[in-house]
Amino acid sequence: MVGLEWRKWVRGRRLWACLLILVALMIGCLEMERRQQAAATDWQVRQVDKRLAQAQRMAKSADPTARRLGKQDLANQKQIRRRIATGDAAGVLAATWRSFQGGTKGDKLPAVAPIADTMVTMLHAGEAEAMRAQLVYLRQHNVAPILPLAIPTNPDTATTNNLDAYDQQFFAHTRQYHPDAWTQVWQWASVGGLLVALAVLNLFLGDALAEERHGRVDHVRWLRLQNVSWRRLVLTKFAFHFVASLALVAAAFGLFLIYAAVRSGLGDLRYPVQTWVAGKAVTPHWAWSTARDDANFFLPLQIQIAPLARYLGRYAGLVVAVLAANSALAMLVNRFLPSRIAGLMIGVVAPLLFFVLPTSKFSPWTYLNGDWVASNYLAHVLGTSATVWPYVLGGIIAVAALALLGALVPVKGRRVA
Amino acid sequence: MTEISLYQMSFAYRHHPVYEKASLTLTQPGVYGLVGPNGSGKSTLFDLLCGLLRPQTGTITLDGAAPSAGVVFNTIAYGQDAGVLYPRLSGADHLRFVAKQHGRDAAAIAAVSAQLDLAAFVAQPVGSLSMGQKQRVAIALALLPQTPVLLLDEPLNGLDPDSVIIIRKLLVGLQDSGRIVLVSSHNLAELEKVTNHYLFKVGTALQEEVVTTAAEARYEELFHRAATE
Repeated sequence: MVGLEWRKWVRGRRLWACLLILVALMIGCLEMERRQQAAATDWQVRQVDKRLAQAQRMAKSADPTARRLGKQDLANQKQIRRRIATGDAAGVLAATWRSFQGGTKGDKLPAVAPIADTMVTMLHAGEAEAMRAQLVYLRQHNVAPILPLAIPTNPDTATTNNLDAYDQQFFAHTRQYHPDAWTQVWQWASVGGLLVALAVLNLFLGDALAEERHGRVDHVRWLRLQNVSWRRLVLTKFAFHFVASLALVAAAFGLFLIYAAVRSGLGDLRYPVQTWVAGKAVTPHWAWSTARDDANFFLPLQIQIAPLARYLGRYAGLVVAVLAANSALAMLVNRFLPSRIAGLMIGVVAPLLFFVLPTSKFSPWTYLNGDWVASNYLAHVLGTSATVWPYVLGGIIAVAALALLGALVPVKGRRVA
Repeated sequence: MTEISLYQMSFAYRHHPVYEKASLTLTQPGVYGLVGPNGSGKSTLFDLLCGLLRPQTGTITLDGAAPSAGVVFNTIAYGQDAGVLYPRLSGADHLRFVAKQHGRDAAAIAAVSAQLDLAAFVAQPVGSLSMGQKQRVAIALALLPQTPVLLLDEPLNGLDPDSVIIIRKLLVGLQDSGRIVLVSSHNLAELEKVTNHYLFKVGTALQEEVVTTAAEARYEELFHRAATE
């Protein structure tokens, strides 16, 4: 049976096309991110240019004080512009860190060059603390930041900060960018890449079991006469579907890694990622209108910075579990709907519902948000302080097991018409 | 010696009776022609013998045992319609699979391929073969296991003359193979060249007969005159 199934998969399925699509999507995502990062850098340079013009005007002022301050500002802005334009990440980090080194209430407020200083005062206290934690982490671990330096804002806290939550330009130019290999996986987790991958896989593999009973053809009866029971058939199909899914994703990722390594580098697995853990209440370092003690917006959770490797490890576990569940569900759907078209359509549409269904603790798709699971933000969504990752994985594996059991219910098979 | 036995066997599709208290015992090796009008239940009999369908009442036994999956696997080879073949796999792929399942070696594959003259196309995908070529591959898959009972369902349907000749020679050879071979067919002229031992599906019963006259004449007697009466 294994040999027969192997030949069917190798000769009958366009696995190369599936691999090509996955690789194209991964590379396309990287290129799009690099382009957006370049646009964000250009935007920041334009903001600095505006301030340079202002500083130049002040430097020529008749007022000696204004002239002095203008010359100081001119020198600062030129330095900032050079750092951003040349991608001097260490320089930007050093400058920003100096500003964040203060920290007792009433001291000079921190700024993130080249965004307007007052931008930071618009942040929720918890976000400012997360920003500080991120900078501390970068310095302590000697990790080069990805430019533009990200300001870790959260739509949840939009009601308490002074940022215009609908200011797309601001979020576009201060969000975390993912311009290299490992950070791209981080991005895929954040934008639902896993669900897109499932849709692509199911487009090619979604009828794996239905093909045995599709239309006028019923191979099941013939296989039964060759001592291949329904149970053996389903388990063999499931194994091939799961292994093929893993192999395709792994192969696509391997090819992507080679491309990304040459194009922009693999990146640093120590890069700081926001995660949510149960912990002590946050004590804000600065006092401004939004930097109130409701820094603890996510209580009993708080933002904790963790290395990218830990985040990716959890995401990888989720990916494997979801692929297993996808294979089992494909068997279940094919068992009860022996139509290849139905199997393929359901396999493609179901994962993509993730992008249209609202968030709800009763919606299974909520638990497939890779970023929420890996960062434990899902705990905040569910209103718990627990680390939910193991429970989500356990739940997905349980679904896989149940789906496979359902698929093992024997069919009678039809005679060829 | 293998025994196929039906005792008071009844089977119906959704209240439409196909067999009612049908009884039959076959022990003598040889080729038997299974004959009846279209839709009368010939393929249904094969399914019942293979355990793919279960009778509502009565018993079916193979060497005294119920047709469980294991008993059927060791006792019966069922040559079904070529539609069971996988279009993207070759005849050779199918033969290797069946050989492995039944513990047969490459020499057995070669012998069966030679019997049915498959060499010219056995390595090609089944989807690219003609109807006659596919049918020969399907029959080869049934010959390979060398089971005591061989069921061939309409093996002569829609075949080119070359294929008909090959299969006829095969069936003649099977007369002395020591196996019980049931061949369902509408092609009475060809069946006559192979055997005179028939199972006629008359109404909901099975009639075993040795026909010394023309099979077509007997068919007419049984089915057309019965209709007019």
